[in-house]
Amino acid sequence: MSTTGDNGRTERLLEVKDLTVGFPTRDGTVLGVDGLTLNVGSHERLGVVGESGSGKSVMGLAILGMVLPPGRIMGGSVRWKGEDVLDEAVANRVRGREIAMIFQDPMVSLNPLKTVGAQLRELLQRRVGLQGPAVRTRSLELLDMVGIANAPERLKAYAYELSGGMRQRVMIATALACEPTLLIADEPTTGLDVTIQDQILTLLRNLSTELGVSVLMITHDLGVVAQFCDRVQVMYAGRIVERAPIAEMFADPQHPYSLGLLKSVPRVDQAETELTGIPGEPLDRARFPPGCAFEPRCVEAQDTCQVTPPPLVRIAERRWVACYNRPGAERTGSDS
Amino acid sequence: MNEPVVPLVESRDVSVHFSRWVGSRRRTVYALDDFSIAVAPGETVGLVGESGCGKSTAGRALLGAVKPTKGQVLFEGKDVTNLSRRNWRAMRKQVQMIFQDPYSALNPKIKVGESVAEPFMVHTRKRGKELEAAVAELLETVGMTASAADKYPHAFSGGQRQRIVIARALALHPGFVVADEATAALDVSIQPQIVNLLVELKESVGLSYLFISHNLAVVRHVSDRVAIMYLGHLMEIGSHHDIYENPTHPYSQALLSAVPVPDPTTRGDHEPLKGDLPSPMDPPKGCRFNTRCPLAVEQCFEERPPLRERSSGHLVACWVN
Amino acid sequence: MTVTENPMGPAADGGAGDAAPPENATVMADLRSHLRKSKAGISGLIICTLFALVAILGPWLPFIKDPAQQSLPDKLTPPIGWGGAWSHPLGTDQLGRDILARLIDGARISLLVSLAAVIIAAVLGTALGLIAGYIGGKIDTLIISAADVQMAFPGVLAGLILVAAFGPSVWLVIVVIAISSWMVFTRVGRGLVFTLKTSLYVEASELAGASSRRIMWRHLLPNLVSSLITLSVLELAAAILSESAFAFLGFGVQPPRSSWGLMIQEGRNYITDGWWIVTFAGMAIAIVVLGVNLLSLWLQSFNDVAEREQIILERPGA
Repeated sequence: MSTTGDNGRTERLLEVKDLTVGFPTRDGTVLGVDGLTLNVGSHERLGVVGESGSGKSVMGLAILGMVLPPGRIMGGSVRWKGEDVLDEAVANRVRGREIAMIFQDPMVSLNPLKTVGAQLRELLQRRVGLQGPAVRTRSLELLDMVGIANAPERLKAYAYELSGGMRQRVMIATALACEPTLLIADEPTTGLDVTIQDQILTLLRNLSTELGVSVLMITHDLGVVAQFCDRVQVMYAGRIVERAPIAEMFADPQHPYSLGLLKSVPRVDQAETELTGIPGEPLDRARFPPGCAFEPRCVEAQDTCQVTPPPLVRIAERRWVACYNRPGAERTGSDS
Repeated sequence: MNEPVVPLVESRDVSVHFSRWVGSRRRTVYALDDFSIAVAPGETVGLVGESGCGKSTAGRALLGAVKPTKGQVLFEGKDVTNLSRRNWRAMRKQVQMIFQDPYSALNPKIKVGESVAEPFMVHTRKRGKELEAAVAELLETVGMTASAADKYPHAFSGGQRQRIVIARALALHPGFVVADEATAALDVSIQPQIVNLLVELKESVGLSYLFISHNLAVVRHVSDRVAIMYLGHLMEIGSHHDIYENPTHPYSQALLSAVPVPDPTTRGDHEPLKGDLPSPMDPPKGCRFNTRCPLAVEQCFEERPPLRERSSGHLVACWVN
Repeated sequence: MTVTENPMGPAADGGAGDAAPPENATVMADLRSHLRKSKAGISGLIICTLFALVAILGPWLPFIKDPAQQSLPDKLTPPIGWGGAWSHPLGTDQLGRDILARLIDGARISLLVSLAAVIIAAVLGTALGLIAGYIGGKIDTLIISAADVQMAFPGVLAGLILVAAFGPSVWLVIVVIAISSWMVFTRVGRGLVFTLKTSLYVEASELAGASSRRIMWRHLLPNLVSSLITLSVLELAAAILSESAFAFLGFGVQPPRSSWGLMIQEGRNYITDGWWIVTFAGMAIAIVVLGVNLLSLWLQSFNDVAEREQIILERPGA
């Protein structure tokens, strides 16, 4: 169902190429996202994993042409079904309609002063163009779709009256109102209780299958990626360091950072796990090393790593790694 | 709870209720109800649960930072629930706490050295060079350099700050430390550094922990025994093995299956637990889990199930399982 | 993606951060760069510095006459440009005293009275605010009720009563202004303490067994300082106005010493013959109060920005 790749069996929806986002600071421009390449195919669930400061959230917003000032997009292209999303006119048409976004904190996108019903109504009237009783019917349908029981009552509720899980469901309902083809989910379950996170993930999984919506899942949680995504990209310091199908990433991680991340999380289903973690401290964005950003913490680092950042190269079918220490890297070939 | 040794810290039927203004009404929050737990010397007890389950309140009650509404707290077998102020201060040296958020656990306006030195300044006569040496030694114990003492907290990353917080907690050689979500605010790759440090210190300094966390995987990694809480009630307590290999309470089972395992080969279809957590201001009668329990029978809505021993040291509060 | 210093420590050794710049240096650098961007801030700072310099150096400035020296033949000389001469650049008053010299002398009084009053109010008010906020309970109720009563009580009236009892004096004016503004510091300080005292470092300190006094002095107070300095500057503007008002009403400094308020009071009888007396004194008050307000506004905006950046800087998360 969800195979994308070099054979091009599925349609490419989103193509991001060399996207670079910069933030001016007193010490010069800091790159939040540095030459990022990414593709999402139809019916695909792509995960982007990274820690704080990896630029994953900046990336999520930049794809929709939204970068908080003083940051700005400094280069690269974002194409949605072939059209340039960085063009304001295209972005306005696509944003919130064909590509919808949900966030960690639903209060960001829900209006605290309006009821759930009023927000859905406004959305359906303005964006979808529904009128009359169809609006209410569709609102109830949406709430039902995201598993909100007692929907007619909930339409009258304000966001603050709902529990965290319920708010997240409402936000998903508003995101789905315009029947998007791609949903960008930025840490949608972070901060929720374990059992509620499980509900929301299951809901997202079912919705993406039933409605055929592709999902770009941005998260720091390897568990969420493993349970949810088809393919995953690992980000460190604004760059993609590894890209692989989900099974291969977890069975045989190639980049030292991916490896380190996997050795950082204990498993609830195994009695003894050794946690090695990654030595050192998270990267300080103000002091960017010229070479590989992971070099200062990397156990395999060599002198060459300090000079220029390693390019992302293909090492096998659908597998890409940015590391000088991975032999057999083919330096040609198109992006998956 | 039939430890052969005298527990280091013990709570007996401790309840903590407090009132809070909600809009214009004063409501009672049932944070903790009849909570009994014992931590043996050198033992790590994991305390797991979701938000509002009372795990932080339980930890603070054991430290005496929260006065129980009912019940007793015992330290080395002595009742310390109603200690006088002076005796209480003496006991303060023996119990300490590590917090979730290392960003707010250190005063941004004072230097790291003074933060770490504070317990000495309050409880000992160490001053000057002697104090500096003690602080330097503590910082080195937690893997920092002594020069960190001259800097302000903003100069350090989250993981480093957490090390400093641990150094401060260890200053007076406490026997018992409550770690409240000690790694939750840290980056994934930094968490093991802190977890491993805590495990090492347990051996080298001789500590007992109450390790409070919502992260079942981390708790499994560090704990000897594990207690699972839901809405102020203890649902199940047992050895590491009992809880993870043979979870008996329906809530424990649901909680364990809800954790996303970082391994795609474990993907399976499990039915997520339905419903939301009820409010601790309005907990359900009987078993507090009855609103979401797939196995609930009539009795569960009438009467609170007592903790009953299933096998040695494995206690479960459930009428059905 | 941050703007201020961001020393997260070096990467490799897994422990210590070695390379953090000294905090004060970076704060000063931030302050300077923020100031360069703010025209209002620069204007405020220039006005306040000039005011302070003139007030402090007043008697030693060259060509400045004795502010008390009368010269009846020269009375009501207009300023330069309106028929005056360089001997009295801003003209003279009804007793032939030099206006410029009297303005400078007035600046001394103004600065002395307002600074002293604000310092007393700030120290007293902050201490009460700390105690009320941290200890809480009955003490809080007591202090905050007193502050509320003071809020509602007109300061001028209090001044009148005290003057009636003790006779007019500069010291009395200081006391009156101080007691009519301490509660501002109490209220603001108490509010800040309410949020600060729930922070984990206060809890940690309590768990370590630290005394209330230590927690208030070492943990809470340093975190109040920047907000309270901003507030002090704002209160300084109000105190300068109050001082002028009291002098105008004749409660404060007595002739032959001068004060801006006093000059206006004396000059208003001659407003038709010597408009300059009232005008220059009034302008002095207006300009200084404006300058102090600009400075406080800018300090406030700097604090807000610093706070905002601190949040962006320190919180992990994308």
